[in-house]
Amino acid sequence: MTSDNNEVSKLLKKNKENLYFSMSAKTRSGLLDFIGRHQAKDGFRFSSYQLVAASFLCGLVAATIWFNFFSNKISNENLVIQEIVSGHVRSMMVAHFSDVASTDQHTVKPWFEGKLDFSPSVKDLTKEGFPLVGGRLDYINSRPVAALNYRHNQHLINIFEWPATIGDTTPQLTSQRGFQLYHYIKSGMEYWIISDLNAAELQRFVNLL
Amino acid sequence: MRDSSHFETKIAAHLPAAYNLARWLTRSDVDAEDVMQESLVKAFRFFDQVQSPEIKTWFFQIVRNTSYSWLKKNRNFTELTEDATDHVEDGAASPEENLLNSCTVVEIQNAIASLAPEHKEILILREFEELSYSEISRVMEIPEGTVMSRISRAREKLKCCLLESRKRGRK
Repeated sequence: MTSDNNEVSKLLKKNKENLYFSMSAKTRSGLLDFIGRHQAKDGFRFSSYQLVAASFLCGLVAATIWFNFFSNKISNENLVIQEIVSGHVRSMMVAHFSDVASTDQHTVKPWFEGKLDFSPSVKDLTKEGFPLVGGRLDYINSRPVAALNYRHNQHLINIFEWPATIGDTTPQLTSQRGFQLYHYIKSGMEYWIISDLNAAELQRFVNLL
Repeated sequence: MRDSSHFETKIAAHLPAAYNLARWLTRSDVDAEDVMQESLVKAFRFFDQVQSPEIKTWFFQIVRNTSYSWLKKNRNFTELTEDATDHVEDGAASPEENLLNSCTVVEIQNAIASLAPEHKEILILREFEELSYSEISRVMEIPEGTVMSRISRAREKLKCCLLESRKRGRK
């Protein structure tokens, strides 16, 4: 029924050359120009290979930036830790633990007024076994900071506090030269707590803050 | 993302055949060019979604559908069913083949042009482009069985037109 030996089929194939509407050169070039114009209008597009290469390069650049960012962040954090430890050690060595020696939070907190561009939070934790000893000014991370001083038995605890530049974080424990350090950011303030207390006791103190 | 040079390379190869189809369906050089331009825009937009081996039938399908849309919009064309268009007369008497072979190119052109678009396009795709039944089925979006029966009817219809034309010419 659909045999290509059909007489009509043979007739059409025989006359195909004359029956075929060939595109003129002008029409062909017009259509190719149209494709070109449409593509230009649609914007330059990458081949899949170009995309893979571009993605790889972007990834490499991003990884480099990310690595540098974290390298700087880590080295900056290490520097802060060094300064915190040095500040803590110096405060004990020169018997300059506090600028304002008081167990009263209502004495210590107002003492910072006019000395800092922020007001540190001061808690009375005497009942919990961590009496307030006083407070002083220190200089950490290229800025003046509040250093609040507490005691637990014979152990001294320094809390370094200043306004944070990033969002809240959970407390992280670090050990440096025999000292335990807790670091966290809460409500826009950065806290570093350092002592020679054992980690469990220092954690209990941090939990009370 | 699409590769524009890839598009041009792949589609350019099918432009002549697609143009022939559009030209037969619209019966005008200018209108065929319009149909081709519109088809290219559609093809470019969806080029990413088609696999390379399918490009030819896919592009034919676009050109065909665009041609029909153009006919509906500009020629008040309404799609005709086979039943409405195909009143295949019982076969002409022998020696038909000799009679058919004596047809001029103009007579054949006129006979094809007088066919319903669905018959015209199926003959072009089969006899000129030599597409398989399966490929025609994809281009026209009809089952292969329908492709076979429609080709048969289209040939019969064309044969009747040609024979009538020959007979008229002899009178």
